[in-house]
Amino acid sequence: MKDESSDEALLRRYQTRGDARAFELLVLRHRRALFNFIARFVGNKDKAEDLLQDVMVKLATRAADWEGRASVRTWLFTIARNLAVDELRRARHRDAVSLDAVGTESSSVPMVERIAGVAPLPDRAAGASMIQPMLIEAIASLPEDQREVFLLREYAGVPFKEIAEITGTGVNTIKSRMRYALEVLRKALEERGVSGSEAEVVEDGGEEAALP
Amino acid sequence: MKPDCKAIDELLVDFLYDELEGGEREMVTTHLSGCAECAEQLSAMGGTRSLMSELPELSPSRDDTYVLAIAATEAKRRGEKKGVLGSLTKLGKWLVDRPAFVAVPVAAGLVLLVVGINLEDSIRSLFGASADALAGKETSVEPSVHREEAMNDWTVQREDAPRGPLVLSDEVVSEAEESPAEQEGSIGASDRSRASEVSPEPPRPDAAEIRRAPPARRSPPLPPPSPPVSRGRSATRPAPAGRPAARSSDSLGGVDSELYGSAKSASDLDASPPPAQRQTQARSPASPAPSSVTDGAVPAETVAEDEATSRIEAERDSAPDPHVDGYVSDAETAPALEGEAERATRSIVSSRQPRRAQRSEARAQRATLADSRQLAAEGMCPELLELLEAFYSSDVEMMAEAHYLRGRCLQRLGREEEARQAFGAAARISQDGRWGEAARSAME
Repeated sequence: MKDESSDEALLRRYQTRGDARAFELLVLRHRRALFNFIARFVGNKDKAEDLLQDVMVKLATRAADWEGRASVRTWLFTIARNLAVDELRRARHRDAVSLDAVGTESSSVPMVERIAGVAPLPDRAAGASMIQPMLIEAIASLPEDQREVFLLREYAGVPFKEIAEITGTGVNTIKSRMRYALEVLRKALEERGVSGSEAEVVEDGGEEAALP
Repeated sequence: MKPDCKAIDELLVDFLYDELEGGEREMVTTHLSGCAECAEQLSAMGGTRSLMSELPELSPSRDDTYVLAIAATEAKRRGEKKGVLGSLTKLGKWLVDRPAFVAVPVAAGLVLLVVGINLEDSIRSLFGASADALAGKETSVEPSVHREEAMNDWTVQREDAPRGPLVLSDEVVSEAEESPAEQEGSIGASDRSRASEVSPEPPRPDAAEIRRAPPARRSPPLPPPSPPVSRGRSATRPAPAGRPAARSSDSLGGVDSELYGSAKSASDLDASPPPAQRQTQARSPASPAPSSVTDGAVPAETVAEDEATSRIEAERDSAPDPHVDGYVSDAETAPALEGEAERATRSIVSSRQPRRAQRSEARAQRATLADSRQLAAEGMCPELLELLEAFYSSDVEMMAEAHYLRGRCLQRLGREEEARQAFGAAARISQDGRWGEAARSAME
């Protein structure tokens, strides 16, 4: 017998019975991972809040679309990923438009910095690692297709096979992107003077320091 | 790089993220212990991972109120009939998933009909002229056909068989009601029910009266000259041709309509017009069964029954039944079914509620109350009142809580009089319980 508290069982309960409690449990279970993925992917915390809400609204209103072929997690990350990709596309478009309209002001702020956002608060920065902004910059330096794979695998814990489903790509391509991502990150960190050994001395930082 | 390094290299990222199965993982481990190059590759990747793990985790700051409100609205829409109706829907779905539950009573009806047909001979011999007169009357309405032919051709004849004596219908209804085992949808249950039906013990004349079957539907031992039009729509409605499971479907076409029909057949076991009646009625012109058969039942001729039963079952088993198949596969996606399923379950639950349905009903009620608490906490009073509008539970405390929550919301909306009534109701039904107490203190 299937676990009644599994994602799938909860979604079925919501789907068939209109069990709002089951929906709430699903939201609580996944909101954080989804939010981190979206925020790191689009590099904007406010936008990520909006997109997370969009994902959950879709979960609420389109639950009937889930047919059980993919896991609920895969389904949710697929929605999130598609929304994030759309957002990045819109952001590129906005940048292009603003480039035409007001000169180079917008483009003068590189993606890396937009993603890195404001500097950590001083009190946190003191105790927290100085490398965190660099990690964020390094992630921002990844091409989108590698970034999504890295974020999904490293932070959301989604296996390669599921990432392949989420992105609609072959699993070997996904693994290859992961290799490239790790390589790009290594180089990006090296350029910033961060190497693997320094990770040892890094302390835990405040979570809010990372994004605006 | 050693010759097998390439193969290992392709597995390194899987190895790094622990996604290799036992055999491959062992192979990589063995290789790494003897290959510095590959070990270095892995170490570099591991170092990057280790660094990147220092990235702080973010938390969304916006709360989920908006999303949960949408879900609550959506849930209400989706499971509109939570509470009593919700569990009815579920029971309907349960029925839908178990065509045997529908098929068994249908088969039972057919068996009874055959019993009746055979009883007719006995009655004829017992009552002689009156029975003959009765039979004669009936044959004058519809020409008599040999019952064996009737059995074979009934699907065709049903087309032009709008009326006829319906004497067995109540038996069918009560049989269906009386076989809770059937509601488990098991084959064994089917066998059991059949066994009980072929039992030679004559039904007690008062047995049917005890049952819930409305007297109006029960045909008198000697019907008046008029055909039993009074039996309701079923008597005048033309019945479509089809296999037994699909018979009850009315004018709808396509798979959905068949589902619809099948659902109906369950529902109508109780409500009028029962499809079992319609079946009986459909077959009756071909079988000159007098309308008094049921009440004056005598021991059945088991041989004929067995023949008929096995024929029915063979038919049911051998032919792939598109209705039943479609029924199952489309069950969840046929929205039209919901209403039917609800009606089906409403009628069945009202008469004989399976324990499972009661349990699931209680679950649905608890879920409704949980939602209500959430709505109350969020101050969504109109939604709460709507949600609880049709709430009913036989559980005293649940019912009291529902009244209490309504009272709180009514109070918040300034509808003091209604709030007082709601609290009063909660206090009344839960005299010693916590919700009664809560309601009493709310009133004070």
